[in-house]
Amino acid sequence: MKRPRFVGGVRLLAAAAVVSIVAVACGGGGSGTSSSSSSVPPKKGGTLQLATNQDVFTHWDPQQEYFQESFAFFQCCLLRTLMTYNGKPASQGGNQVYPDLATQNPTVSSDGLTWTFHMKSGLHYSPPLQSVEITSPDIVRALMRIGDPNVPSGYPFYYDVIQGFSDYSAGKAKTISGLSTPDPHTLIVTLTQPTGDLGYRFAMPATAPIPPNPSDPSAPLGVAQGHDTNYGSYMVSSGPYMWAGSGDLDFSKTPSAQPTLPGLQAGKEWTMVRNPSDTQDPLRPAYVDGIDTSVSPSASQAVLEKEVTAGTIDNVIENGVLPATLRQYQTTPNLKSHLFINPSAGNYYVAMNLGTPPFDDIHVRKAVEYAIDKAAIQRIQGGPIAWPIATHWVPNSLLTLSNGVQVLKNYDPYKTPSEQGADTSGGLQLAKAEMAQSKYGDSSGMCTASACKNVLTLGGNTGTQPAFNSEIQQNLAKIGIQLNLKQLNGSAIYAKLLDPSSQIPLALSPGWLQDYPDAFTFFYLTMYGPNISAQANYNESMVGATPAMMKKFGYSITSVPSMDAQIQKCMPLTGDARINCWADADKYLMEQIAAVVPLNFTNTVNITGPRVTNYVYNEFASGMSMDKIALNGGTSSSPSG
Amino acid sequence: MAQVGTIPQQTGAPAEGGGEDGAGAVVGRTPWELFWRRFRRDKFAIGGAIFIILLVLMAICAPLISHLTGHGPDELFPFTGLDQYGLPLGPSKHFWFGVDSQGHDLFVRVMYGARTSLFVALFATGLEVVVGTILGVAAGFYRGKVDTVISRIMDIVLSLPVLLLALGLVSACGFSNNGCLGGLIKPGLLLVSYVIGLFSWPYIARIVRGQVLSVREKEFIEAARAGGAGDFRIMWREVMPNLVAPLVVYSTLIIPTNVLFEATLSYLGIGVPATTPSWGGQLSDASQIFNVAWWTMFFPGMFLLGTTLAFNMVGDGMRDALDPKTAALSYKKQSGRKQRKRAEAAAVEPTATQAAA
Repeated sequence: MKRPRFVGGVRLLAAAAVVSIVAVACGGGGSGTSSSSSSVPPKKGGTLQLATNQDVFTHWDPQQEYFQESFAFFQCCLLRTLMTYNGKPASQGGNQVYPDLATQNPTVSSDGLTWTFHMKSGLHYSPPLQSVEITSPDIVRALMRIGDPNVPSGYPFYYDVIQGFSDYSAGKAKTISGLSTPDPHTLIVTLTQPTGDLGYRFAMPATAPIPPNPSDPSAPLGVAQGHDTNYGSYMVSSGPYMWAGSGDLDFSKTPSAQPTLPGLQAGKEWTMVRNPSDTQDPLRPAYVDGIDTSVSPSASQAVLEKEVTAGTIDNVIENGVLPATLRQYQTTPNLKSHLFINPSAGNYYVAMNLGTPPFDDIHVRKAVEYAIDKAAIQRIQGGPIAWPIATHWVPNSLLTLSNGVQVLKNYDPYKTPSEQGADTSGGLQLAKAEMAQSKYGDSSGMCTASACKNVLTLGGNTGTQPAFNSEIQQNLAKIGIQLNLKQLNGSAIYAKLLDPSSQIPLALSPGWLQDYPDAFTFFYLTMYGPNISAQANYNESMVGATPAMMKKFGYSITSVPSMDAQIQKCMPLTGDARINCWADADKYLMEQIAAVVPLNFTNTVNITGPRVTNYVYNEFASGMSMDKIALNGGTSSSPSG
Repeated sequence: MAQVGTIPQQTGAPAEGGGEDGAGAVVGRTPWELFWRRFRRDKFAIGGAIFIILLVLMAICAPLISHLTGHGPDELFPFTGLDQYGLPLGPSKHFWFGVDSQGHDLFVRVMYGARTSLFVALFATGLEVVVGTILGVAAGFYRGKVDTVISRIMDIVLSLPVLLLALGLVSACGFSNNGCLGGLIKPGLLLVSYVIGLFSWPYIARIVRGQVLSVREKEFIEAARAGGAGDFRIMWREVMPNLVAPLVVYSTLIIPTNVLFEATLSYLGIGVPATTPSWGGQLSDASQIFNVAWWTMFFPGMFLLGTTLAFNMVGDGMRDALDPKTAALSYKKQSGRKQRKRAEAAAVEPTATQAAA
């Protein structure tokens, strides 16, 4: 139910979350619910009351946090970056980056290796550093902190392309040679290889400027110096909001003697107020005066949702909506206007391990692709609103050309009647035809080999997950694959999956969510051989593993297919060429490797309280744009958290 | 209600007996007859027994029921059993008890749940009785050091936090296929039964020990010993028959406890595997959804309640019927309206004592 918490964690959607009745990112087609309710002109003022029962945040450290919810708070409210998003849905340009601290889009040299950012002048930090101007060395400081070996950084791999970054991370250099600041408002980035999506990477919260420490100008990490694991509690804001009591921060003291932010009480309450240094940034209207989030890890989702309906809180962050609440909001006219369903760029899938029999045979994998009844799973998981069926790997929003065409919208390489897989005779025939060609199958299309008996399989154990598991178990039994199903909670599953030496043949419920709106984020950690690691491996299928790696992790099958070349080909490209390239990579994955069975593309479902008037969906953060929310002050007074 | 129902039968009983046995002669009744005459007077116990018999039949016939409804226990009905939001549909002519949150036919699942509950309850109880009797008899019969060792072991087992240990044991042995202790303990129904059985045997052992301590001083034991019988023969042939009555009574009373324990473990997700139908697991699932699907909690809950109640009532009835002392006590408590019953009970009691001796 809970999103797993990783050490240096990646924003995985634990299927435990989705499949349980809690975190269904609902959404989609045909519901007719718009992404914004703009009938009332937004009013300024009021305090937005949020609640959460999740406890996944890693101390609000901008370089450490790797969860979509913290991205949402950083992007909308607390931190400005060189580039950023408009905080709107994809249909309103939400997948583009716009200059934020930068004055304009970066200029890129003809070889694609040198990017120059020019920065706005006259922007200042939140108190107590309201007199300190935001300058380009502050961005360099942030990148140094991302690469600092002592900081448990969330996603340093996105910055490996910067010249000298790896050397700095390895402790071989004192600075990052690829970053230079000819003047306080210019940053020049030199890359080792052309990287078409660098703009997105400079919109990640980790690249937000870290101010110098006025009391210790020589400190390389500025005010974050000495706070390797807990800078979140001392963070100076650059956005329209700041943590309450920011003025109390005192960087003249030694790091351990500095007071922490009073507005950030882990596990209890997070309080944000307006940043007096804010200069009305056009991308972030910041209508409300403050944002309070009450954190109660043990609170029941159903109770929180009832509070939203009653208006005592305005929104429950992160969880999605329970099916019963979704039904209530869909069928009650005065509630329906407070229900918001938007596609978010995530998926859930079944992962087959290329290194474990019987999934070392592509025909077995293709038989599985045909056999799974995606329509039944959709119904179990909450129907088409909650669970739009996926027929390929990358969410369509990331494969949309500049003219709005979704390249793979109708691409369905393993089409079965009504997507019902082996539950239809047509689908079963297709699956059996593949199985018959495999070395494990007999001529009738059943897997008779011992490799198909007792196949160790991990699935979730909460909410609707047992039904989901049992549906797949029954589908695969029809082609002779007998699962030995182990049902565990989300964290226990990932504890096994993140370690490739566990050699789990079949995982029923992993999920993946974009880090930024580029299909690269769907391939780089999940399908790219060089990123397979011993501790935090997100490539459950071992796509692209070298024989040496396979040997190291104890596999007896050491030769597995790779799509590294297809991924590398797309990395330097930009524009529509890049999108077409990723679409081809997706096809290659589906047809030539067939390591995963995509089950759905996620939707985000939100409900808001009656006084919320200007809901806007933030595509980047897969959630509500908190800077664009406005409150109808007359309906409800601010309740206490 | 019970009293009203009891009286006519009491008047009927002697007449019936007289008819069969001839002209008022004092008839020697077997212990079974005596037990049955007393037991059947207790309408609650009879009701409980009927419920249990039906339940056992249901458990045995679960595959038949599943076949008749055409709904397998693990079969999912995503399209006919769930609405477009994935929420289960209520009782209907296709799904008598409605559909559970997963999309199974709840009626069939509850029937199969009876199998799980009864299997675990009976197996665990059997284990408890065997272990408890052996150790209890040994402790009571040998006394001295044997008694001290066994009694202290009982104290230790009784002081263990059973639920926490069960949590640990089931989680430790539940993940791998090979289980623990070289495959001796494997995940599933048996593991749960072992856990329940191995932590509850001291209750039986204590009762047995107490009984044995008193029985071993009786003259017939001395007689047997004088006749040259060995320890084992005395325990088996002379002591054991005197333990049957309390054992039967206490096992019947332990069964509902074990049914509940299994349900508790399954509710916490550490009982039988999640795919095995079990009332505790069903209640656990229902706790997430009962506000929109009352049937998911009502039916498994009622069956659990009914089973526990039925075993308890039968146990009570058996205790009254087998143990004349508690029977007499309970009669004494009754009001003047029960004069007749008391009179008859007094008439029966000497016979019972004779039979026991």
